[in-house]
Amino acid sequence: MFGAFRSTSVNLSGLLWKTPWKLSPTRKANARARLKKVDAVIEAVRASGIQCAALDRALQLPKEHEMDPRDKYTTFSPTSRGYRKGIHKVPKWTRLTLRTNPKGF
Amino acid sequence: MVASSLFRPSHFKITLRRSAIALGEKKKETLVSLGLHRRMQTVYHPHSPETAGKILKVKELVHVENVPVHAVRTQTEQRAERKASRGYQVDGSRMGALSWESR
Repeated sequence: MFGAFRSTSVNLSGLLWKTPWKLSPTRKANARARLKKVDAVIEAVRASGIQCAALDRALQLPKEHEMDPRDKYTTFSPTSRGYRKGIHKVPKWTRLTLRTNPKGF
Repeated sequence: MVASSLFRPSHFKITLRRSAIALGEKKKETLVSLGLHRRMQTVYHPHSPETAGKILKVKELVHVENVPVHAVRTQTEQRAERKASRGYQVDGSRMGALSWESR
C-alpha cells in the first residue's frame, strides 16, 4: 500500500498528468497578485495623461477589487457543466486577459 | 516653469517581466517594436499614444512607471550604474617621472 512500488494511477499507466479542478489558495493569491500588477500598468498609462482607444478599452475592464471571485478563478466554457471551468485550464492563462465573461454565464 | 516641466513625468519606464513566448507573433512583435528582447530589460519611451497602445497590448508582460526626463537612461548608462565599484582609485602614475625617460 505504501512505499516506492505502491500501485497508483501514475505507476500503472505511465504518463499521467492531473490538473486539479480548482485552484489552491496559494495559486488564487498568485492570480490576484498578477491581476493587481496589470491594474498597476493600466493605472500608470492612465496617469501619463495620454488618451487613446486602447486605454479606453483597458479602462472598461473591471479592476481586481471589483471582480467577482467567480470571474477571478473560473471562466466561461460552452462545453462544461454549468458553463464554467477553472481559469487554470485555459492555456497561457497567467499571461492573458480573461476578466470578462458572457453576461448571464 | 522650465523647472517644473523637468520634474513632471514625461517618459514611460518599461520593464519586461514575463516573456511573450507562445503568445503569438503580434505580441512578440509588439515587444520588439518597444525595443524589448529579453526579460528584466528596461527601456524608456516618451509619452505618446503609440507607446501607450503598445504597452496596453502587452500589459500582462511588463511593469510600467512614469518617470521625468532626467531619470531616462540608455542601456549603456544602466549597465554603468549596475557595475560594482573597482575598490580603488588611480591617483597618478610614475611613468615618465624620471628625468632621463622620454616624455
